Amino acid sequence: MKHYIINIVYITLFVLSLCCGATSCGHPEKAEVCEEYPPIYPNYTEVTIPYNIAPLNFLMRNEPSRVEVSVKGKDRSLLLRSNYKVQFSEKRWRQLLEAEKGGELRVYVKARVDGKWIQYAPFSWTVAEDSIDPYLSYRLIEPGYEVWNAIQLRERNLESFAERVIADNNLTGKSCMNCHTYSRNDPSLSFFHLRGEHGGTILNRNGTLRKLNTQAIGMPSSAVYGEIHPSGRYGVFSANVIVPEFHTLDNKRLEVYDSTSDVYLLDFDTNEIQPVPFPGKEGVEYLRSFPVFSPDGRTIYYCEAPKVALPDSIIHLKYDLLGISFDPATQAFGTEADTLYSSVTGGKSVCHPKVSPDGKYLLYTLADYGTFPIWHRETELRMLNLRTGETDSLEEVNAPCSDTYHSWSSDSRWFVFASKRDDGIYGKPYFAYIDHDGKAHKPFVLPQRDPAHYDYTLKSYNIPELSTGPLPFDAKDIERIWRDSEAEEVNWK
Amino acid sequence: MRTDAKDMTFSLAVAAFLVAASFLFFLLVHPYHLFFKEQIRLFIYTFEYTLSYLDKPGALSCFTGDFLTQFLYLRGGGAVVVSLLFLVEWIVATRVLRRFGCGMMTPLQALIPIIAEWFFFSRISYTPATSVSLILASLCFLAYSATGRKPVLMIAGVLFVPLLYCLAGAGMFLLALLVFFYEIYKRRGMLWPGFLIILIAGAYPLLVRHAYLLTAGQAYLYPSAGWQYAVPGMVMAGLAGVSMCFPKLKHRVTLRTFTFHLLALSVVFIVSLVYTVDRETEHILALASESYFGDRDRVHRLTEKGIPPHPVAAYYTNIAMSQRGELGDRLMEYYQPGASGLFLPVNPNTTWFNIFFSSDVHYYLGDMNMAQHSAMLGMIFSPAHRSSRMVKRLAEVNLALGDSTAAEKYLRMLDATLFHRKWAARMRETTTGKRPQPVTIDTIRRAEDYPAALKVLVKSDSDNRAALDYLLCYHLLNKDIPSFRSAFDTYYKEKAAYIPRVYGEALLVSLAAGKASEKEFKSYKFDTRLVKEFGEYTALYEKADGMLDPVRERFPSTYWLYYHFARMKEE
Repeated sequence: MKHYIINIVYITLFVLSLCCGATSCGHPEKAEVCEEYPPIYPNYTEVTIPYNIAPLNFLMRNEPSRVEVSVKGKDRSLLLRSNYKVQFSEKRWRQLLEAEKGGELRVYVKARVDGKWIQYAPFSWTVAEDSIDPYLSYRLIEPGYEVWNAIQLRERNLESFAERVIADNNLTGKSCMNCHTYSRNDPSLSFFHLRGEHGGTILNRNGTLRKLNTQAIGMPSSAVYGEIHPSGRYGVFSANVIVPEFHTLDNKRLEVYDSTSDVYLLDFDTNEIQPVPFPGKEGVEYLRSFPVFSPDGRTIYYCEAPKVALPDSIIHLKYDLLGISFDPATQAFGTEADTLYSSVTGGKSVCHPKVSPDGKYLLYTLADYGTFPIWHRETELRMLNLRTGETDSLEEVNAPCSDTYHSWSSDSRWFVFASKRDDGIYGKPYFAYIDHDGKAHKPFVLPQRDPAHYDYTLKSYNIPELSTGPLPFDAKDIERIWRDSEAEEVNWK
Repeated sequence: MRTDAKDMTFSLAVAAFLVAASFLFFLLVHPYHLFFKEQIRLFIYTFEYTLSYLDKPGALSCFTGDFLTQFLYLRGGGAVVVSLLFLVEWIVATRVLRRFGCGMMTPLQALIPIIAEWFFFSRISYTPATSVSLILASLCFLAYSATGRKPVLMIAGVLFVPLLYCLAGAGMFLLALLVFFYEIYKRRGMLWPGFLIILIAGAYPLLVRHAYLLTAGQAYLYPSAGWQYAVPGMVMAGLAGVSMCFPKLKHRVTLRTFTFHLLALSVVFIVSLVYTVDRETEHILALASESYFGDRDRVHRLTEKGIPPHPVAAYYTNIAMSQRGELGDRLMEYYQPGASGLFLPVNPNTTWFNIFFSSDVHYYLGDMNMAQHSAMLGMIFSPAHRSSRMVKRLAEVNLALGDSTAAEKYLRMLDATLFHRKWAARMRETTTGKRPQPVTIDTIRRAEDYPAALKVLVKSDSDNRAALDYLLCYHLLNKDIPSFRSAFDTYYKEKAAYIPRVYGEALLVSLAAGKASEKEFKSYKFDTRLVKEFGEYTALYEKADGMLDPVRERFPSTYWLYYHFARMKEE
C-alpha cells in the first residue's frame, strides 16, 4: 500500500513537470532572434584558445532561467542545457578541442529570459594548433596597495581546474611574499622573495630549495625584480627602495616609485654579487630596474631613467628600455648599451620587459610615466620585434585598464598578462595568442570551474607566469626552509 | 511520573531563565558587540563560497556559524540567535551530562559551560562557529554513547574523529575527552577506545595541518581564534569528569544540594557578568555602528553621554561634531588623543580594530582615494578578510567616483547576501555617477600626510567646510599653531562671520606669541569675553607655575589647557 502511494506521488510529479515543460517553458526552437552577442561573463566571444585549455565556462549576466549552448566544430559538437551558468564537461570539452585543433568552433547560445527564448548572435572560438604551457603560477593578494595580510602563491593546471598552494604566508609568519618567477618556463628553475624575519630569496634549482640573503653590505635593498640566467648559474636583479604614495585624483589611486635602484648580477654558484656596470652615464644619477636576460643569456635588458625630484616631478620620471651584452663565461659586460625604446622620443615610460623564448619578440609595458603601472589605467602592452625593430601596439590585446606583468609560454606562441579590464581593481590572468605571422589575437581570461568565481573573489592575480610542468615544492617545503634554514649570505665580487 | 514532571518543570524553568537572560543581555547590554560581529564578516550565497569552507577544518561549524552571524545584522536578531544557540547548547550539554549519570541538578550544572560561552561571546574575536563546533562534538558524543558495546561500532566511532575534525574543528577534542571519560565510566576494563580516540585527536591536527595550511597552534584551535575559547568545552568535559569521579554528587537532591548549586551558580553567573560587560567597547561599537547605520541622532545622543578615552570613540565623536558644524566649538569638550582622534593611523603598530574604521572619515570628507585605500585595508586585516561593511564602503566609494564597473563588483557580492541585497539595489538606483565633493587637483602624498590631502580637498571645493575644520583641528591637535594660523588665514578668515571658540583660543595664543599689532588683532573680530578669559587664563597659568589642577578647574575645556598641558605620545 505504502509503495503504491509513493508510486502515485512520483508519477503525478513527473506528469506535472512534463506539463510545466510543455506549457509554460516554451521551445528553444521558437526563439526570438537577437542580433547581439549573448551577455556572457567572462567575455569569451571571438577569442583564440589553445587546444589544451580547461573548459571556458561562462555565465549569462541577464540570469536566464534556462540556457542552451551549442558548440559546433567541423567534426564534433557539444550541446549543453543548463541554468544561467554554463559549465562544460571536462572530458567532452577536451575531446572537442582535440578534434578541432587548428579549426574554429561556433558557439550558439539560446536563453530563456522572462519566459521567452532568445537566440543570440553566434560567436567563435578559434582553436590554435599551438598548445599552451600547462601550468601557471601567480600570487593571490588583495589589491591593498602596499600592505598585505594573507598572501598565497598558487599553481594552476591550465588543462583542468586543479590548483594547489605553493607558498602561504600563514605558514611563514605572515611575511610578505613577492611573485614567483621561472627561468624560461622551467619548473626546476625559479625563485621568489620571502620578506621579513627568516626571509630571503627562495631559489628553486633542480628541485633543491635554497634561501639567500641577496642584500650585500651597501646595497640599497635585497633583490626585487629580476630573472635567472638560462644556464641557472646567474641571477640578474634590481635592488629598489620603493616608496608608495597616493594620488589625490581619483582613478590613479597609488603611485609607487623608487627613491633609488640599481641592477646587480648574482652568481648562485659562488654567492658573489656585483653591480652591472653601465657605460657612458657619468655625472648623471639613474634609476635602473626590471632586468631580464635574453633567451641565449648574452644580453641583459633593463629599464633606466634619469633621477628627477620625487615625488614632485613624478610625471617626468620616464624609463627607457635598454640592452647590454653579457658574456656568461667571463661575466663581462658590454661597453655600450643599446636603446630599444627612448622615452624622449616615445614620450612614455617602459617597464617589465620580457623576451620571448625564441628571441623574436620583446614584450613590455608602456605607461605615461613612472615605474609601477598597475594603477595606471593608461598602461598598455607593446611588442617589439627584435628582428625587424617594429613595434606592435597590440590593439587586439590591450584594454582601457592596466595590462601588465606578462610572461611568455615556452613556444613563444602565447603570453599571459595581468589585466584589470573587468573592474579596474582586481587583476586577472589573460592569455593572448601570437600566430605564426606575428599577429596578436583577442585574449581570454583564465577559465574557472565556477564562472562566477571572479565576481566573488576579493583577490588579485599578480604576476602570472607559465611553466612547462609542476613545481617540485609546496607550501610545506617553503615553511620548512623559512623556519629551519639560515639564509645564505652573498658577498661582493 | 511525578519526579519526571518535576524534572521537566525544573528543566523548563532553567531553559526559560537562560533564554530570557541571554536575550535581554544581548538586546540591551551588548547589542553592538553583535552588530559588529556581522560587520566584520560577509556570508554570500554561492556554491563556490560554500565549498570554500572545506579549505579549513571545522567546515560545518564555520559555515553554520557564519550563516547565523548574518542575522546579527538585524536589530534584536543577534539576541535571538545567541539565546537560541545557548538554548541548543544547554540542551545538548544536559544530555551529555546525563550520560554520565548526573541527576536532577543537571539542568543547573549544564549552565556552567554556557556561562563560559556567554562570557566569551562578548569578545569581538569569538564567533558562533566555536559554539556550533561544541554542539556538533556533543551531538557526536551522544551518538557514540548510544552505539552500545559492539566493537565495530566503537571502531567506527573512533574513526569518526577525523571526520569530526573536518566538520567541527577543535570541537573534536571535546568528543575525545567525553569518549575517554565515558569509556572509563561505563566500560571498565575496556579503555582502548578512549585512549585510541585521545591519541587520534592529539595527532590528527598535526598530521593534516599542511593540507589546511595552518600552523600547529591554529590546527589545534580552529575555528577558535585563541586558546581561551576552548574553555567552554573544557568546562563541559570537566563537569563530565567530575560527575564520573564523584558519583555521590549526583544522587538525591536535597534542599541543601539544591541551594548549594543555585548559590554557586549565581556566584559564577554574577562574577561572569561583571567581567563580561564591557561598557567601554560597547560604547565605541555603538558609535561606530550607528555611524555606519547613518543614524546621526543616535550618534549625537551617544556623544552627549560622554565618551570613553579611546581613539575610535574620539574619532566618531569628531565626525559627529563636524556633521553638526560644531567641531571648532566643541573640540576640547571631550577626550582627544591628539590627531589620531581625527584620522585613525594605519601603520604596522595599529590594531585591525582601528584600521577597520579608518575609512569613514575619508569618505565623509570626500577623499575617495584614501577612503578606498582604508576600506581595503580594513577588509584585509579584519579576521575573516571579508567584511560586509567594508564591501559596502567600497561600493559607495566607487559609485561616488562614478566608477560603476568597480562598484558593480561589490554590489554583485552584496546581491548574494541575505540582508544587504536591498541596500545594493537601492545604491544602484540612487547614487550611480554622483560625486559629493570632486577633487580636481592631482598631487601625490604619503598615506599619513593628512594636511596635504585636506588642503587638496579644500582647494578643490571651497565649500568643503568639513575638510577645512579637519585641517584646522589637525594642526591644533598637533599643537602646530603656525600651520593652523596659516591655514586659518588662507582658507577661513575672509569667509567666516564667526570664529568658533577653539579656533579663537588658538588664534589668541598665536597672536600673543607673535606679539601681534592692534590692527592685526582687530582684524580677527574676537568675542570680547573670549579675550577677557584669555587674559584671566594667562594670569592663572603664570600663577599656577606649571601646576595643572588649578588651571583645569577654572578652564577645563579650553585649547589653552590642551596646548600647555597635553603631552603628545610618540607613535
